[in-house]
Amino acid sequence: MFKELGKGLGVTLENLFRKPFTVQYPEEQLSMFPRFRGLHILTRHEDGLERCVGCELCAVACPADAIFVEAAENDPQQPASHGERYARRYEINMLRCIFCGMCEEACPEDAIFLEKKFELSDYRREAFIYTKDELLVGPEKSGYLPQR
Amino acid sequence: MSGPCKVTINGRTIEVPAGTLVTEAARRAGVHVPIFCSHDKLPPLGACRICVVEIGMPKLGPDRLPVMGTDGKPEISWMPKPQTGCTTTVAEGMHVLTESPGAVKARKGVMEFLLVNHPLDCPVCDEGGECQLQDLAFAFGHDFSRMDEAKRTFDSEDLGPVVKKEANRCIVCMRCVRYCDEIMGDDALTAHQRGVWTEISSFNRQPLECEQCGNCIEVCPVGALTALPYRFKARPWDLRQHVTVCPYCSNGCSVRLGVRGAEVLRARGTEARGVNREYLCVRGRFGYEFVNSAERLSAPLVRLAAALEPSTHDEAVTFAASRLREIAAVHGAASIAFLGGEKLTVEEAYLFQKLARAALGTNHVDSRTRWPAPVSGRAVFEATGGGRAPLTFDDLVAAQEVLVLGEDLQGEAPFAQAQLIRGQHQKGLHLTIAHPRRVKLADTKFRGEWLAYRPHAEVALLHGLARATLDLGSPAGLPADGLAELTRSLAAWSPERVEQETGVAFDSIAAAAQRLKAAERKALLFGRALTEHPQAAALLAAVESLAWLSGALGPERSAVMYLGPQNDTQGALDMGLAPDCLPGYVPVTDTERRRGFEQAWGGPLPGAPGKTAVEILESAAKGEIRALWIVSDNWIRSAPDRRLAEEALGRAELVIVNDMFLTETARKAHVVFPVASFAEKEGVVVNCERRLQKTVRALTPRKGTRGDGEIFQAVARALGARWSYRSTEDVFREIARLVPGYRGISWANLLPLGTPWVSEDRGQPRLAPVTPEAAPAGEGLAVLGGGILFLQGSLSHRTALLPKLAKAPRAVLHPEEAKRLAVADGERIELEGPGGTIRVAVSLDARVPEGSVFVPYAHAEIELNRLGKPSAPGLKCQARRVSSPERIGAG
Ligand code: SF4
Ligand code: SF4
Ligand code: SF4
Ligand code: SF4
Ligand code: FES
Repeated sequence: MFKELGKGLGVTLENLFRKPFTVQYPEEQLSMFPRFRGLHILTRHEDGLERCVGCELCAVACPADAIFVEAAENDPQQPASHGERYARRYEINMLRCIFCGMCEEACPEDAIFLEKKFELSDYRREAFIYTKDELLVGPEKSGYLPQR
Repeated sequence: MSGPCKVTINGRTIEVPAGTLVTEAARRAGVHVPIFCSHDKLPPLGACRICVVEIGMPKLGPDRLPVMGTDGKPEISWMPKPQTGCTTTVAEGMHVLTESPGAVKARKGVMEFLLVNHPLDCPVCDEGGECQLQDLAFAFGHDFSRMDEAKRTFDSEDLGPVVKKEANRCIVCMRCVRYCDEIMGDDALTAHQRGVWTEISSFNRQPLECEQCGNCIEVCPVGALTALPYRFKARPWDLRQHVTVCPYCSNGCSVRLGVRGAEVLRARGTEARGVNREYLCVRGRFGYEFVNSAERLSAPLVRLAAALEPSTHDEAVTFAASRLREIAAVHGAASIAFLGGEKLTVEEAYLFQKLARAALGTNHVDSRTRWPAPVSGRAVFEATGGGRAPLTFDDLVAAQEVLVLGEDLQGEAPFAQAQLIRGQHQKGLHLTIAHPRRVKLADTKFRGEWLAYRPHAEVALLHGLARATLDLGSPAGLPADGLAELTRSLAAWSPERVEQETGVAFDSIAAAAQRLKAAERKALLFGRALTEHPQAAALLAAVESLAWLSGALGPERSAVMYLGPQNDTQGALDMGLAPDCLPGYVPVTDTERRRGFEQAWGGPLPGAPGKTAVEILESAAKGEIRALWIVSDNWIRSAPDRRLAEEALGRAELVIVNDMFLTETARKAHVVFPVASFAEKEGVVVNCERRLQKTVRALTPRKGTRGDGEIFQAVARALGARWSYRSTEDVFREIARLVPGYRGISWANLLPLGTPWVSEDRGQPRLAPVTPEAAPAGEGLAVLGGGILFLQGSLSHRTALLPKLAKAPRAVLHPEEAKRLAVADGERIELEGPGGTIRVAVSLDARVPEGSVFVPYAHAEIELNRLGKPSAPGLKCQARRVSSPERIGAG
């Protein structure tokens, strides 16, 4: 009997002194796995122009109908993207998004990626409609493409 | 060769008429053969080669009999190379393989060639999602390219305000070039260079000076031509697409509206539906924007004190009904008049006149607000052959001889014009265009005959034509006494006199009459030029006589078409928006037939004909008519005399206006009901072929607006009538029960395309004697009014594109006339008519005859009716050059 008791206690003691698994979220953050899919980003070319051309393939690929795109023609003097077309409005409704990554797969321009951010809570429903300025990466991240 | 042929396609044997193309035979056999360059309205070309199939014929022995194989079936000798199905016609016993290894390999090869230089920029191409090349590349193409040279590139070009050209994507199918040439008759596009360097553009590479119809865009199977107004607006999968009927002219083309959210983003033709199929004119294709306009009224307006104040529908209805009741009680129902309605649906028009006749008891109902002379509501009906089976657009394209009387089809009926041009190009149709100006169809390139009669000589011309036709002998079955009287009265119109008054050689008139009479398949077209004429009654009677004499009207069929000014002009007349007709052209004086309506509507109906629109105008200006209800009509602009219309609106105790916008007329009203647009309501409209077509609700009505029918019902109920229609269909059911010609038509059968209505009310052939005297010509320049292609009515003014295309308004003078008046191109003249003056800049064009000035009435800035009501034979004015620089168009 003591033998069993000792064995059980041994497990307890062993685990007591082991480095804990638990992460003290939110003080501590986990780093996500490379293929984790969180909030989307819209990327930029090396020259800082948006990669997205507003083709709406992401929107049509999205099984949850979460993406809304409205395209427009670039002003040749101040283009937003390469070529003639860009997305004037780009919105994702994160209450609908199921993080399937179909948009990422559909995009012919490598413009949209599901990145690591997952903390998407808010008090207002409207706040879940992520607009283009929230999704587009800053100019300092020009040329950045997540590695998959 | 004729008679059916047996062809075997992929093992399935079917019978098709000889002369059928293999692609079409395959379609009938349920086999899909891809096509790019072939188009059913264009002759075969064989440019793209995507339709390649393997074709074989039974092998013939020395005895010219099929050689039988070992299996007892005829042996087939296959052609050594694949053939294009779109250029090969079927032959008896032909075998076709579309999915054999040889055919598939050839098709893949063609696909690869087509993609050699194609940029594959689908993500940024507006055609993406509905592109035939994309679909076929997906179905047959490779997913890699063996081409490692650089692709050939061209610069993209804006060919004017509607066509965007991206030549890199072009597969040189030549559809655009051929369509523009053979159907639009514009010949605006061409192919520059050769081989891979072929590039479609305008001849001089300048912006297109064409009809801007956008049909080249429509038929382009790829994204080489796209529409600038729709550029990058949406993807096809974003759009809810609804097929409805164009709100502009009387041709009644089907349009496919693309709606995203609460906005109409584009209008297109339909591929296989409607009278027009892919065709749309510039108004139909780009004129939908008024639906989205922010200026639309969204609350009823009521004038309780001095100003029009926003109100609610209930209040407006109560106010309108109580004022109508008061006025009827004090001054009698005959002091109330109902005007307009050519843009209403049939159901709404029916309710409008039912409200006037049954709920209020007035016969002063008229939709023909522009007509300057009183004419019976039956006149057009009778001139077009009563209830006889009408001429259709299919008949028109296949006609041998077409006589157009005084109408510029480019402005008034663009699709009819396209049908005629196509007939002329492809089917040997001969055109006779009677028009004082050299209008588009009178151009020598259409090889017709132009009867360039003197302005305002319509009466003389028609009498000349009638006389010349009579000289050829009259068809059997015409009433003998009528014929005798007509012959007697026409004696006054000797060839010399006709020649002198019309300025057209009598021989040409006689030849035209001869051609019309001799042709087996013929058509006689007329429109506003005759009806909005001070002598309309005489002209319509003359058209009727001419039609009977020439055989355009026969015992069973009619080959006379009336091209009215609005999309539902015909339906409005059919529904009795005329002072002397109940729905179905039942005369109000016919006690017997009126009883049917009285029983159905539950009350007595007035039996005396009411006043026509122009009579209403005059009596309202005198104060005899005290209440006016004006529907879908900017009456101040459309009435034949602006000053009278202003007076009438000023004097009337009650003016009710239904409109989408606060028009000049609505500003003068006491009650304005904001109404739904054509895209927001369901109902039936009737085109110039008398074809019933259902419009659909593509959008929910703009907040605060209602359908006209709902408003009429609400007011009728407030007046104590027991109307209880729950839907448009209810109203249509009542129409289909009561109205001759519409009897038994089922609402369910009106989509996609109803049939033209015919009725038993055919009437006997009628030949009216003509007046011997001609009206005195009067002094001054003859004013030629006329429509233009780019604008039609106040709705078109509310779009962004159309007024821009129409450019600044110009009165057009012959250069000689301009010399006489000492004005140069671009300078302004003042025109003084009997009722007032207008000022407008001039342009010079020798296509307008001397002694006249052409003033297009469609521009918002030109208020032609300020010149006053025309008196017979037509409006004359004095012209002066204006020296000081002032605002154009100001009165
Ligand atoms: S993110 Fe990609 S798929 Fe979506 S609209 Fe932009 S370019 Fe097209
Ligand atoms: S817009 Fe119409 S008229 Fe102009 S080029 Fe195209 S097809 Fe021809
Ligand atoms: S522009 Fe379009 S329609 Fe014209 S030839 Fe090229 S592919 Fe054909
Ligand atoms: S021809 Fe007439 S009905 Fe057809 S699109 Fe043009 S305006 Fe509309
Ligand atoms: S469709 Fe037959 S060759 Fe183009």
